[in-house]
Amino acid sequence: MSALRKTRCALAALLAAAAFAGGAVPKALAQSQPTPANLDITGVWIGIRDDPKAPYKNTPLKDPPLTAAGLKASAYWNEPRNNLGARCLPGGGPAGQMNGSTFFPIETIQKNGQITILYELMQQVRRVFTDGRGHPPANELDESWMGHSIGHWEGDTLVVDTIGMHQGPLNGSGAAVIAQSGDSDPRWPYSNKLHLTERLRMLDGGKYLETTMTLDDPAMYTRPFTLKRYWRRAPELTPIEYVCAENQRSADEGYAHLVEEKPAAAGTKPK
Amino acid sequence: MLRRSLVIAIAAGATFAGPALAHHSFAMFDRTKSVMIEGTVREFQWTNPHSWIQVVVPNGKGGTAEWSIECGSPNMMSRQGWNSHVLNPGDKVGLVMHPMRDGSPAGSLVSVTLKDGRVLGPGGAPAPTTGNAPPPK
Repeated sequence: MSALRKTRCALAALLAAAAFAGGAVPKALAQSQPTPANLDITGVWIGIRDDPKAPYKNTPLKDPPLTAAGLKASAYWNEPRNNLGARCLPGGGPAGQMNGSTFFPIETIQKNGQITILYELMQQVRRVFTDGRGHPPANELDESWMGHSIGHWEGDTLVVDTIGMHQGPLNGSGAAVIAQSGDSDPRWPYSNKLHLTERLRMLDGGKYLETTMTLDDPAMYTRPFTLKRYWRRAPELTPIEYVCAENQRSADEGYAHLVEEKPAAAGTKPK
Repeated sequence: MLRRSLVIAIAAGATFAGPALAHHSFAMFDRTKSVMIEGTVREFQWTNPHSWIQVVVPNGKGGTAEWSIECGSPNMMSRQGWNSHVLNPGDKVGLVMHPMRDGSPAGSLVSVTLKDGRVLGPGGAPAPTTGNAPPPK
């Protein structure tokens, strides 16, 4: 064994001991050592918002104040022809997907340097990099539906920072329904300037997962707003396949009565 | 009227417990109306984003009409007692649905009653406890 390797082994052992003895794990350590159970969010989770017996309650979305551009974008997304879901596009972004759906479980896989979140809804995959990297510089950041997420631990809380998302509605048909709203409710838009901060921590020994989301989108809202969403660990659920386009009768099969579902030919996306 | 001979309107204003957080707007369905039909399954489409039941219903004039009944997504349905084998071509079923506003032969499923008496909801929620179709003859 080389001297370097011996040093590494000794250091790893020392750090592992420190990790299990203490609570918080330094960021560098979390990447290279087995994750203590209280910091491992691996598992299948389902929202609890309809469960009257659940010990935690989601915070309601109290009409966040829209800017003039936000009002315009809200009207745009409220048009059925602009319904992303009817085109099998995954509106909602990571904030929508973390809304604590009671229908669509999420599956988290935590490994060294990355937390992968599999969303049953629209079969989306999200990678939260915890290897210490930063976001790409603005002139290298490519927009995507899930955006670019980096995470680090602060004590027992995983803090995830996300930018670079395509614009969309946070709620509404086909999008994840962050407002827990019906078809007639206003759409809450987000722009590609959204800065999403999520704080995830497990509660009650890992039975529940709390996600606290702060949305800062000055293009659409006059101030940031924060929502809490709660999930229950659901080992009994097996997420299943969701290939949205396999039977898009509403959009594609020429149902005259479903004309409102047809892809948008008109209408300009809000800037 | 043709359709009136097929369809029994029930419980106007019945509450809708269907796939409320569904993939697309359900505005084309009249959720204030529930109608009951009995027919024979031609095809059960266990598909995303939503499943559909194609059911052939006597039109009261010696012929038939085919109805398209929209359900929830397989993931919602599979957690409420469904799977892809629950309905098969040729099965007799009783259905309650919210009909299309424009009167075309389609609807949003409220509940289906199988020949063995089992009642299943649309997927997002259990079947209602009342107002379901009787087991098909």
